[in-house]
Amino acid sequence: MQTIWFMLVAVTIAVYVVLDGFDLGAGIVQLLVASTDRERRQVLRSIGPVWDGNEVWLLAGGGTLYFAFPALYASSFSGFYLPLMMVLWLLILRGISIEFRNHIDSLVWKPFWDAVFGGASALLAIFFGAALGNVVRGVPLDDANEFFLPLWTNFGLGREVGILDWYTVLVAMAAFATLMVHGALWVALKTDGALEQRARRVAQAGWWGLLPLTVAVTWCSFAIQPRLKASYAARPWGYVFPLLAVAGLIGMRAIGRRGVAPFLCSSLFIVGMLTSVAFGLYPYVLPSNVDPRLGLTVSNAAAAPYGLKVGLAWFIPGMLLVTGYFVYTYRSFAGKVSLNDG
Amino acid sequence: MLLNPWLLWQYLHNMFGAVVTGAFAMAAVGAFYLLVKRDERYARTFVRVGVIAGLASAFLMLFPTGDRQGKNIAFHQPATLAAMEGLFETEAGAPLALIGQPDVEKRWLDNPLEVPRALSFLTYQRWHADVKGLNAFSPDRWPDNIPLLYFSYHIMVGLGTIFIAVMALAAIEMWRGRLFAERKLLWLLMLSAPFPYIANTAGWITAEAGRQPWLIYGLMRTPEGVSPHVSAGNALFTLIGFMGMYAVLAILFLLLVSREIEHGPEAA
Repeated sequence: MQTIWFMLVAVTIAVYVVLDGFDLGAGIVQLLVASTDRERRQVLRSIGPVWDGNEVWLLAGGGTLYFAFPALYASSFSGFYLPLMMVLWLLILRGISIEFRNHIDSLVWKPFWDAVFGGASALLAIFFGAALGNVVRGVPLDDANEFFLPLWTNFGLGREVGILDWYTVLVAMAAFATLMVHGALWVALKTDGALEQRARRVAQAGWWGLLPLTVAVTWCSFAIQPRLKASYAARPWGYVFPLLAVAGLIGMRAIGRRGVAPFLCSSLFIVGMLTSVAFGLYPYVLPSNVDPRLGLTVSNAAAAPYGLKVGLAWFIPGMLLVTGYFVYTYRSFAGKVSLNDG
Repeated sequence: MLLNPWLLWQYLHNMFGAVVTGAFAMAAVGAFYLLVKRDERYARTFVRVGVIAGLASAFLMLFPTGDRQGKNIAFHQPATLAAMEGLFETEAGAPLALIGQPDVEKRWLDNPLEVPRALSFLTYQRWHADVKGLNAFSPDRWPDNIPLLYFSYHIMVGLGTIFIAVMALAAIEMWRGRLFAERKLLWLLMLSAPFPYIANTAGWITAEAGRQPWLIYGLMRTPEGVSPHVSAGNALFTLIGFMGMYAVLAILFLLLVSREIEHGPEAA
């Protein structure tokens, strides 16, 4: 039961990254690919009907975590207090920049909010990447499984780590590149003309940055977190997850340059990378970077079995409903956006 | 969770609070247009819808939703009720304090203006019913900030009562067909606009200050829920951050709303 919930949380987070990833990525590339007001509105309109729905998956991830692994939720929300609050601020700024920009038609107002939108999106990608890096590296848990991390210390990997060290910064850069490519492919999928061409070029250039970062992150993760190697050695069938990521990475280049295929490959890459991490860390949900015997696992962080069972009974119909709604929304807004219809 | 006795009334109270706010804002914009004699066709619609919705929702805030909330508090959180009402001593036939300043040191209400026996009647429908005062509870079960709780509750209820009076007056004049020419009443409607925001905030503070010192009422105290490793400095840092963020949002809100009002409904 605990393992089922571990998978459900992992899937919810992966879905969040795929969905909100493309609108964060669209925010990152907006300033690069769209130069005129018309093009920027086109980019915004491509994510307009869906971005806030996508963000709800973050709440769903947090809610599922709270429900299924309360000890993990309590420990990590206290320990990552500062970055979580900053993520909230960035989400607020991003939301208002989308809502506010079209209220005043001015050469000062609109570029200002476009810059806030781009900056907040970029920083969010970096924060989420750094968060993932922290989970892989582990945190200095005490005997009560509590911890608190400052934003940075000396950027090294010793006992006194911060949220940002050279490893988590590397993961953050990889996350930034991933979402940038992901967002560019989304924009290319949803727009036409010169804007689409530029977005495709950004995605292609970004891919060459993503490739070495992916290799570097993978290598460093295995070097820093020995548990990953142990997991794959103990259960070799798990190699299917990294293979998914590799297939997605190659697929982005190999399968056609048009249509929906490159975007789906990029989604596959994200899911593959995240599930690889989840598989590699299992049964740990938050390892310790100091003492390998400490650490939160699916069993010592989980809620009581009865609650988990009842929760599952509610989770499944709830998820079906949500999935149905998302399919409906994305179908309703399928195809390229144009600015002529309103 | 769905069978929680608070859920229905608290939810409705909250939602009608939003309707009151919207209705007052709408009536105020309409009243402003009528006063400066522009967009009068729209303005009359704004005032008409605002007054009708405002009267209905302001009344529903008091009864049944507010009334049922009060009874829930009396039944489930009696110490909170005593603190909200500034009732320091248990009394049979307790009065309802309209105005007065609680002195927690001396345990009485300064300068009280009270309706005799009304609190007993409102809580238990009997004029002589016993209402527990704060002296019935040990001080470590009292809400920590009694003046804040007392004042926010009285501001909320006082404003709510005034809202009903303002909207009832406007509705009567509207029914007699005179509202749109009554400049004094239009002034009143226009200047009322900020007060629902204050009442909503005061209501929120009442709920949050009222459940102290508990995180989970009667089970878990607030200090027991504090993150052990988050320092006060870091918490202050994020508090300042949020205050700055909300200050910016408030300024932008005023800027954009006043621009929209200036812009007028015709252009849209």
